[in-house]
Amino acid sequence: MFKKDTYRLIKKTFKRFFSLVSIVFIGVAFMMGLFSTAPIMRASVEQYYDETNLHDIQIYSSYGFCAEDIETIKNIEGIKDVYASKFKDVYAKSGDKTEEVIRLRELNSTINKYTLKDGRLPQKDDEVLALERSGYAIGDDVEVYLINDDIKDYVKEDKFKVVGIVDSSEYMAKFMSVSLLDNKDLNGVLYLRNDCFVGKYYTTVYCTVDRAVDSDSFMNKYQQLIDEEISEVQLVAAKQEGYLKEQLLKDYQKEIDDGYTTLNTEKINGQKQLDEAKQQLDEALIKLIIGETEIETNENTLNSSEKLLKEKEELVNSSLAQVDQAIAQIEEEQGKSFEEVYQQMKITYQTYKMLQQLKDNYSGSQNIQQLKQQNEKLHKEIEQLQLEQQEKNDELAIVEEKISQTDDPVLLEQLQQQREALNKEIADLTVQIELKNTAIKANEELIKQLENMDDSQYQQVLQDLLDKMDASAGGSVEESYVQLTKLYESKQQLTDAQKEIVSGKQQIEEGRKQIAEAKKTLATGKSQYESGLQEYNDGVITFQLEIEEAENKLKLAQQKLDELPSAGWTVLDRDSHYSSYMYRGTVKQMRAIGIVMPMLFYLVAALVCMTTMTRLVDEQRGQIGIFRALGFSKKQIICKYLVYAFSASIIGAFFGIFVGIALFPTVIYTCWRLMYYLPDIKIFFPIISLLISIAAFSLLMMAVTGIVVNSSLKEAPSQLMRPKAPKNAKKVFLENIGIIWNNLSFTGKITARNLIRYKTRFFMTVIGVAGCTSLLVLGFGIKDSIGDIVNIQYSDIFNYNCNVYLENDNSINETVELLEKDLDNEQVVPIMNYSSKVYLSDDDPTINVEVLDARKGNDIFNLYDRKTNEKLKINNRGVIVSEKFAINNNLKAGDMITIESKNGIKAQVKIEAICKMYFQHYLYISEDLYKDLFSEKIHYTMIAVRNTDGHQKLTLDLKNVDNISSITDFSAFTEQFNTMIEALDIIIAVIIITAGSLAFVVLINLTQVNISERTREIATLKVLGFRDKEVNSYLFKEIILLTVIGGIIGMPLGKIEEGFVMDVINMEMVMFPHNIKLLSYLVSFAITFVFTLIVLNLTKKPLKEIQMVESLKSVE
Amino acid sequence: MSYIEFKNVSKIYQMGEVEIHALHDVSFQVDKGEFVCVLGASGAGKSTILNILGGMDSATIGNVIVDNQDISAFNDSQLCDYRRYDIGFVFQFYNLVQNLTAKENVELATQICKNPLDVEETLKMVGLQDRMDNFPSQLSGGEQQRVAIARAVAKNPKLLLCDEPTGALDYVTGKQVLKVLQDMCYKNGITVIMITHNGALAAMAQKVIRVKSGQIQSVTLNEKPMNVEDIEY
Repeated sequence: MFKKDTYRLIKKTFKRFFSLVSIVFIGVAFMMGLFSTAPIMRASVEQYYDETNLHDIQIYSSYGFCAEDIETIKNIEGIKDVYASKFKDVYAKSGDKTEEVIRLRELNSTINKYTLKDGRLPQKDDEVLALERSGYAIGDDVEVYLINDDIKDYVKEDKFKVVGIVDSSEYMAKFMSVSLLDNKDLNGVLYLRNDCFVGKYYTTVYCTVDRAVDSDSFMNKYQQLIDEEISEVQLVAAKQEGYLKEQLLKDYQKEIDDGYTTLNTEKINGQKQLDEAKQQLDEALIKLIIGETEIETNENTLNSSEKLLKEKEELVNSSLAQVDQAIAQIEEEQGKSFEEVYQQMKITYQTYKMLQQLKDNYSGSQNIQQLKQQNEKLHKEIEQLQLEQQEKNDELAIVEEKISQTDDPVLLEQLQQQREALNKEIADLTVQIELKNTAIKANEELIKQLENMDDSQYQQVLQDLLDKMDASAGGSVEESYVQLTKLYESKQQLTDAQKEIVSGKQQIEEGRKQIAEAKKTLATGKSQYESGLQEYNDGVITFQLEIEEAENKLKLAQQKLDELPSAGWTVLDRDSHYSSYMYRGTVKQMRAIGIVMPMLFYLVAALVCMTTMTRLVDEQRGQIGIFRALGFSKKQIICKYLVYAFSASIIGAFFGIFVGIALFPTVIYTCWRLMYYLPDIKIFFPIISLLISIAAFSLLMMAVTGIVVNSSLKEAPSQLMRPKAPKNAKKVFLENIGIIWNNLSFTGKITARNLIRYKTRFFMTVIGVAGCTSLLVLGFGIKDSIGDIVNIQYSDIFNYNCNVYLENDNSINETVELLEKDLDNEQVVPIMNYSSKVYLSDDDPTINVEVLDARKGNDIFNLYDRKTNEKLKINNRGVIVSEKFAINNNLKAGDMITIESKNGIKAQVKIEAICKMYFQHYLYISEDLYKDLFSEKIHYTMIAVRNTDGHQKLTLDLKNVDNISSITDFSAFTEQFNTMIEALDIIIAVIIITAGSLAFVVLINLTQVNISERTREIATLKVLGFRDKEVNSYLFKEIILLTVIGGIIGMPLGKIEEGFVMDVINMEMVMFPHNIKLLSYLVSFAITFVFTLIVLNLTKKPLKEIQMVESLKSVE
Repeated sequence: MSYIEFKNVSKIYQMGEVEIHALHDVSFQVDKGEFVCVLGASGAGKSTILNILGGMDSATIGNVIVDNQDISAFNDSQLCDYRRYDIGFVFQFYNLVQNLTAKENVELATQICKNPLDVEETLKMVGLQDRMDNFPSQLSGGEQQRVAIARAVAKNPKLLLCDEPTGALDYVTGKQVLKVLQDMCYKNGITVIMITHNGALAAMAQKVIRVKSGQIQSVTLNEKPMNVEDIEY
């Protein structure tokens, strides 16, 4: 019976029942949906992690890893799998894509496995798999290259064909990772066959942890045990990390030592060669000197002989002149040539002599005989001469012929000279012949005379003859003859002497020529020597340079070797893995939101239930009275309504669970897929939270119902059967303020009194609307808090946009000048930047120290105090510390802290101020203060530059400056962050939807209850002639007022919620300001109001449909 | 021509396939300043007459003339204006707004009409000058009904329609209320049409219209209407 009645009740009040079911449905759907979103997001990815065996720990080393290292890691307690992997970041060209930075990785890995989505596995070295997001399709050709390095040093092939497409749990986040190529962003990943990698050492080691296998990596427990494992690994690392370095050091040291040995050998060899060369050169020099002396001596001799010759020539010439003069005189006197004269004289003399003999010697016969003999002799001589002449003539003929034949002018001249000489000789011979003939004639005459004479006569004749001869000779023949002979001989001698002189001269000439030649040879020798010497000297310098260079190289190598950074293993967990870290953050955010929002729904559901049940019980009071009058117990009656509430809860919850879990996680997960490359969603029903939420809602509904019904049952059955006395209207406090009250319209008055009268409804609506507004404030607030910080930090606080990192500050002034020259560079400030520990009592956190010139620093950093918004100046009184660091470590202005210098010297310094800062921890200190504190020289490490065109322009400016290690700007970071911020829009969309449904649920319920309760009143008003508008405003004013109150309350509430959510997603290095813009409050309020207006609009219709006849009905 | 005229009015409700004739060819007239009583058993059609006359419903066939206006041809908003300016309505269950004091309930009506009477005067008229600031829940049924009458009268309507004004009241209180109504008519000259099933009350009216099964049974003129005090029911 009772069951039937309950069933009927439900049927009769179906609308009300349905509204209960709805609120439970919506509440459970949201609660379960939002609540399970984080676990489902987590579980889907966790399963993906497990399937692909994502590493728990990754180890990097500056030196790579060798086989021994891997073995050691494998033996670490608790480590499950170890996979040592090689990878290389390269540039890639494919189709019209060029210079994309991609990572080449190993194909076969036990950890960080990929899932093949399409295609097949590579079978050849030049076949690869591509990560789906890299943008390659199967069949694409990819060419990889390096810019300052040979690709073949790293991989066997440089041209690949994509044969398959894969997904990887390692690269879920949109932003993959920063590459090792100038920190450029990675664009893709290719998987190569393992043996395609060249190289002995592994780049990185991935590990999984035994105990972590069954542990959810999103849980703190996982983090705890990984932390433990990491300390374990670090213990081992401390021992092993130096091993490879030592090995490498040994090898390198050997190389260097070998280098030194080689250098020394070469040094000795080279020196030897040089010495030999030097010796040869010296010898040559000596020879040259000797030669030079010889030449000089010869020249001297030559000169002196020339001098002598000259003297002699002069003498000969003068003598010859005298002789010639004498000859000329004779020739003039005689009218004959001297030769003739002389020959004549000679013959004359012979004749004379012969005559003398003849005279002295007795008989004439004898003399005749003698004369005859003489003639014969003369004849013979003539014959001789004629022969000679003949010979000469022949010779002449030959010469003549030669002359006629020859063309050579030199030869011709020679021949002509010859001819002349011959002619002269011939002429001379003719003269001699004639003279001899004359002598013969004279002799023959004499003979004739003599043949006729006696001795005395003869003697006389002879004497006469002699005398005659003497007379004709100018005195004495003998004398004349002697004189002439003397002259002749002198002439002859002088001529000879002349000839000798000529030949002497020729000799001297020859000598000169020889000397000239010798000099030439000497000069050549000398220049050869000189060039040899030059060569030698150059050789020596080159040799020294080479040696020096080689030595320097070795020294440098040694230095480098000595200064090699200490080998260190960096042991990273998944928090350092960009993709996992980001996703964890996302899940965390979703969890925070999944806690805040369902709570509101829970509260609102309770209030809605209360309102609805109150109304129901009010409507049912007559019934209840009858049942009571019929003798049913209170319990039974309460039970009926509990069943009513419970069935509504169960039905609502049942559908709510399915819809909530099917809808919210899927929608939100799909939204997140815009930001992540996620595996398919794995929806599951979290049984425990499911039961909890059903129980929570059912109990809530039943508790509320119980309370409401119980309060009704307190009345006596008779009273119950009568209509419920209308709730007493009360005067509200406002009525005491006449000015306000009297100016209120009736609807205003009614509204004011109603608000006070129906407190449940008031609270329900206010909380619902406040919840709606607060959620919106939360959503927009999150965006405000996170969205702007990058822009504030990198364009407001940092008044520069480019970092020029220096290798050293040797030419800092020139670089700064160069940068200042470019007018686009608005700020150029050199900074010394390093990280220092800050020694505090319980912890030594690290902070970035920026040492800079106070004046310039205040131009380039706009440091502000958050509260006063007053600009903080870097000065010499103390340091400025960034906000988040101060908060993390509980520091405030005026505190003393101990910091380190760049070289690790500690000093105490006062915190002058705390500045607004969003990313990283910074400590600003002026150069002067730094010097005071540490007495250290400042070595700039970077130059901060403000350039509107970004770092490309700077790279151009500084292309010739070589001590620059890198130039970066903030654009990459800001972009990356901004994409992350875009994801917040998803959260905000979820929040707006949630907020909207909250507002709708509450407002619709409110209007429904109001209308059903006031149907009579409304009908009455209509009968009284109120127009539709007036009727509407009679109801709406109240709702609008409630909305306004709710909205106003919601704003600070939103602020609180936002604070809670931001605390949950708090990050160590990032300061999230809890500042919500005024606009966000206004927009939230406006949106809430719009929701209200929508509900009001929906309400107009049922209002209009209320029949005026209702007013005539009796009170139920 | 009469002040109010029902000419061959029929009201037909379509209930699925069946047509229900709530009124069938009803015709009657009321003069200005008359006290009219419409008598009839439950379901006789008297409420329908009241609804049509009050502008809450319209006739299916026929004309209803009120002060030379054919209200049966009015559209919704004209009807609304008609209710607003020309009609004062007194409900069986008073229908006061619980959240307003007596005075405010009256003011509620006066603020929307053209020439309202003075609110306090009106309340004085119904004898409630001392209870003006009380909420309905603080008033007795009779008092509440008097507030309701005050509310209707204060509008200065052409026509005061009363639907079983004493139906929810005890004898004594009912009499008080009826007295007020009679005074309204006789003293203030307002045309009053009162619906009741109580035949005893007919004696106080100048004209009695008896309705039965949706038709006029009779229209009787009462030359000497009785004072309320003298009626026993």
